[in-house]
Amino acid sequence: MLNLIRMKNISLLIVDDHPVVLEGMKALLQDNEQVLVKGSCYDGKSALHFLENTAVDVVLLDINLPDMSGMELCKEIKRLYPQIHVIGISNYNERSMITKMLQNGANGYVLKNAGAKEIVESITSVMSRKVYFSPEVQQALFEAALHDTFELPKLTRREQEVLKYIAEGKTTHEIGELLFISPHTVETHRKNLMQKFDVSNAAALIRVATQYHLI
Amino acid sequence: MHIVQEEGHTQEKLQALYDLSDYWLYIDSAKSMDFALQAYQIGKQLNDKFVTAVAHYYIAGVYMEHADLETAKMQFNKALTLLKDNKTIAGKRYQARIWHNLGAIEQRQDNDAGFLALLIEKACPILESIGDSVLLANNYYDIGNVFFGINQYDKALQYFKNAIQLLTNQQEYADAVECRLGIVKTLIYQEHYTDSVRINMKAYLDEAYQLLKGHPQAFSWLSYFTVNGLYFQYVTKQTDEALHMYDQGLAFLKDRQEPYRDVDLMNRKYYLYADRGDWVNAQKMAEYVYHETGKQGLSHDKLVALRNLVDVEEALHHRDRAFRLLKQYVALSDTVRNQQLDVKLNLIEKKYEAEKKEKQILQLKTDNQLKTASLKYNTAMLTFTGSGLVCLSALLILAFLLYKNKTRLVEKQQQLHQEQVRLLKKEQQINFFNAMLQGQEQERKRLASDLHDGLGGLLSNIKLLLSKDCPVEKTEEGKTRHELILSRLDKAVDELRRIARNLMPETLLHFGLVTALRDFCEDLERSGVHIALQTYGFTLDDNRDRQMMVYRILQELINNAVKHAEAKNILVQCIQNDDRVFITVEDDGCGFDSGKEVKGIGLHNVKNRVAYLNGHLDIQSQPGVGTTINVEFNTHEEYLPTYS
Repeated sequence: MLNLIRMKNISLLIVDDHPVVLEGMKALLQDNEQVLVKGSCYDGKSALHFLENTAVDVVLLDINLPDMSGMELCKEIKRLYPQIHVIGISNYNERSMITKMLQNGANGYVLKNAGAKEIVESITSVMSRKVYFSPEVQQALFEAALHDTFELPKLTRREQEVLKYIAEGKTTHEIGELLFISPHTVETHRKNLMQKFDVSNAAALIRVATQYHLI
Repeated sequence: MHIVQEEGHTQEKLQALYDLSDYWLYIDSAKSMDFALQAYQIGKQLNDKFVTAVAHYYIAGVYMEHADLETAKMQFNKALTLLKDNKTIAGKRYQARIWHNLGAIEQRQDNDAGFLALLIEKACPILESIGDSVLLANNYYDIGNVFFGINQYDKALQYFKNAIQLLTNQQEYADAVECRLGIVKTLIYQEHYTDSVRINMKAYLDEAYQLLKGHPQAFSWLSYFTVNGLYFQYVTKQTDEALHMYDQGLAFLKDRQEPYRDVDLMNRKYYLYADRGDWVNAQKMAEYVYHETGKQGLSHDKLVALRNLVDVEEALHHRDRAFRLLKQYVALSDTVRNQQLDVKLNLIEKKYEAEKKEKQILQLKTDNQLKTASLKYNTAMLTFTGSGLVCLSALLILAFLLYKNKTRLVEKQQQLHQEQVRLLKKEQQINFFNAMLQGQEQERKRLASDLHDGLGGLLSNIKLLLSKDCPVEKTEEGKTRHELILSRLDKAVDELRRIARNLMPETLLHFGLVTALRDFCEDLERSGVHIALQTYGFTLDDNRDRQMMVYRILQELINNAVKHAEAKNILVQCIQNDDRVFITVEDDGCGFDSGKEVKGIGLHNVKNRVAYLNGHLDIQSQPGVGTTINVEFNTHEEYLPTYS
């Protein structure tokens, strides 16, 4: 019972420069039993000013603001008021944006095409100390995580040819003649290959390439 | 040493001091100076003008070796003042030497005209009057060399030949060798390789060799190797033999403390490699020469070194460096040209010739005065006509030279003007293209933010409104339709997001190129294609304009691979080595015949953008295998596009 009473009083600040979105959010949450919209701001400066005088539990924060980026504002809010939960709302679902918000202390990230239920869910989630992501956001993060696993450097067709000839002990000049390219270009490929495999000489290059069955 | 400490024989002691000063000059200049000062003290004690003057001469020598040219000049002038009234042979010989050295100082200060003037007007007349053929030959050799240096080969040959004649039956061999080699060198530069000239050159080379044979340590071997190398390289076209000669020369120099002397040989090797098309070796040579000439003050050498390096860098496609060096070259050559050397040199030479003729005429006149009076009239007439003719011809030559110089100047100015017009046009073209691109980017940015803020806001508001209220229709059918509307709305927002991102990659502005590319690729991968993005050292120096340019190029290329080539796997590779950037986009799509002209607005845009970066675009495609597109450019390249 006690718990329920507390939940009814989640105070909220909405920061979004788009009046239609702002009004929509307000209208949506007005007759919500748990959330109380304490205020709304159009830009970062007025949001910080508002927070100086009024305490809130959650800030719904648009990433695109006219005076500063939402990512910067998020960092600033978390620095000044660590107890406030910040949820980013944005049209962008790029991983870099999401990660930057999380690095700057955001507790959730919701896309702007979220439905009413989702918005409310995100607010209650962060209040119970969980993070919340829209399903699309979760997918973006998940796919990215899959890619970050260790992967062998891929070689272009030309690089495969050059590597093969290097392994056969051919000189730069000979390789150039075989592939109809200038010795200078061969040198560039050789340099790039060594950079890719993070080795400093041709012998190490051949060793690593053999190890990975590239030749 | 022994003699120096002995009292008494002042003359011997002085000679010993001079010799010691000479000996130490190139080994320990402090000691050399010490001995010269001792001689000076003696001169002061004896109140002997000649001894003091000679001491000044040696002191000046030390300063000269130390490259303190102004002090050296002052000391030489003191010596000259003291020797002014000295009519002895020794005194005159020193005067000639001093004039010669004053000339050498002028030459070191890039004033060839001054050097020539002092040799011809001061040193040579003195030496002629005292009949010192060895020293005179030495001066003739120097004069020949200056004329050679300014491409006046006939005069150079004349002076070399005169010097050889003076040196016949003399002990002195070094100058005799150098003059012969000078003749061969001049003949090579004249480039008229008739059979008789070839025989001549070979004969002179053999004579030089015979003279040198008994002196294995003689420094003239260096000239011999150089000139013989030239002979092989240009006259008989035996490049391997030429290379062998140059290398022998370099080996000869190796054990000797002779900085800068190797530059000539290295430069020779440069030309040889360049003629062979071996640009890698040529570059090594050119770099060395450029580096060494940079330390010295001789602007002619610097010009040559710069010119060669420009050629090398052009041949190796290092266009930005070639262009920067070319700018340096142009600036330096302007300075050199302004000295208008050729005109001055010619005037001085003409003056000397005229003076000599006048002297001869005067001599004739006095001789004839002793003879019969009847001849006197004729002689006077002859003298008058003679001098008249001399003056007339001198005037004509002068007028011709002035005319030639003027036309050349006008031509140069016209060329310069045309070049300026061309550059301006190009610049205008670039500015136009630049403005167009910038306008395009701005417009895209505006559109993207309109989409996001305007349409995006509205759509999300609609979604909120629709999702908040339960469907009006309570039927199952009504609910499904409501769900359908909501999901279509999501699709619409997705589409909007995609369009806006294509218009302006927001992440590029916030996080830079690599992140933006990664986001772009990750997004495309959701459509099922596999993209491997590999970047190494790829920063583009945080230049946002350039990053945007590259992003657009890659966006286009990757989109092409997905849409037109229907590739399953795409490899995107961006490597930056210092200021050189290599980009490869490779796919396993359907490919096309790379021999045919590729149409389509997309690739045309790529071409223009690559041209804007002044880069190279290379497309390799084979039906059934796939397409590889390479883009290569330099981050410090100036925008000088050659786009269509």
